[in-house]
Amino acid sequence: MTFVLLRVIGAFTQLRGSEHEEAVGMDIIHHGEEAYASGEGAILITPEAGIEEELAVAEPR
Amino acid sequence: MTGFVTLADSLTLGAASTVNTGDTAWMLAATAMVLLMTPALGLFYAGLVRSKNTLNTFMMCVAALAVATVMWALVGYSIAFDEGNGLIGGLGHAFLNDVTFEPRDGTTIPHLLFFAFQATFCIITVALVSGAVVERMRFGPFLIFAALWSVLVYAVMAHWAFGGGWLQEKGTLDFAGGIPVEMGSGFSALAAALVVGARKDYGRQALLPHNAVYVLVGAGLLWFGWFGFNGGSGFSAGNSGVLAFTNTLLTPACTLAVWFLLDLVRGRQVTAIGAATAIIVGCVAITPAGGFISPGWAMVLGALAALPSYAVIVFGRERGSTRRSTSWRPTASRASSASSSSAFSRSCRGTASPMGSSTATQASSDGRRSRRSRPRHTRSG
Repeated sequence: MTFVLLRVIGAFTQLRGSEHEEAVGMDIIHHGEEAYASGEGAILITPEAGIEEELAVAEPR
Repeated sequence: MTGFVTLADSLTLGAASTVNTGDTAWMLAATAMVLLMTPALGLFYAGLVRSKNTLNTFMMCVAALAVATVMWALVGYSIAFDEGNGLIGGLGHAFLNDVTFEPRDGTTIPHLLFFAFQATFCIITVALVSGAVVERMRFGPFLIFAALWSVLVYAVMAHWAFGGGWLQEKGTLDFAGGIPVEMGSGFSALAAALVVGARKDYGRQALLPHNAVYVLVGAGLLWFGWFGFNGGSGFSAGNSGVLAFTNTLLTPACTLAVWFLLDLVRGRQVTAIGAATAIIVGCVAITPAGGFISPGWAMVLGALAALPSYAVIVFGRERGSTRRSTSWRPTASRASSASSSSAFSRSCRGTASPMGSSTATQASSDGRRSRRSRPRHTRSG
């Protein structure tokens, strides 16, 4: 049942994030926040400010 | 409904048709305790993922608080607890129609409170499934999934086990919801992991829990909430509630003690995440049997429940260091020990005494089987 349900939702939208999103981390991509900010405290990134730029800041994994 | 009345009768030892204030007071508290389990689970899961996904993982549980509650009030409750037929409930209680201060049939608490208590079960179950898709599922689609799943899957299973459905008609004794909650979320988590697929970097790097303190705090709060979960499932402050409450203390403690012993006997360090896992395993094990077995047997059950989970973790660890975290998946331990304990509750018919050792052995072997397959899937898809 769950399998069918997810398949149906998946037909309308993408279920999982891209490889890029997964690498950067779901916190920044989907919530614009980080649990552990390095330096200046919790950050809020506007989409225009560029997630790309934030990539460099994001902890390398 | 008749099935429900039969069960509730046996639990409350003679249902009265008036509201009992003592029972109501306890159920009010229990409802809040079960609600706390969802943020606790968020904390538990958040500690288990990598730091870059902490908030997303936590937010999936918060999403369950929002989405599942709304859906439950709109239609979920009705599908689960309205009369309907053996497979699915009706729509008589949709939009809280006819859910009032009058006692719910077979209980001594107001129908509204019964609804709220059951809502918290729906929420925690939706949150449990999120464990299978964290770190890779997009948030928007998860919200849609949570909304539909809570109605189409959870409410239906709850009807089968609590709301007068076929499982209840056949006499299944599931005290606090091992079937809809733990087995439902476990198998759904497996399905969800299969559809969503593995993490991209799975197998390439170690996926280790990033904060063991979160995991322990989460497990502790879950244990606390579980007193409401099990203790409230008798819908009264009577004997069955007290028994389940006490068993919720004893069983996880035994699991924990046996877990420590196993670590020490093997000459290993006793790990914090292992301890957190043991607490959850013990809580899940006592859930379906809480109000039915005596404290002594609850302790035995707790001790036995440790064995299959522990075996899988050792087995998983031997499969290579990159896969180590596989065996720590909480969904895995929850789901599998749910199946073990509900097998146990199936075979344990009476209250308290009749539980032969053969029953327990069967239960643990049952758990071992599913446990072996599950962690692999949950992590790798």
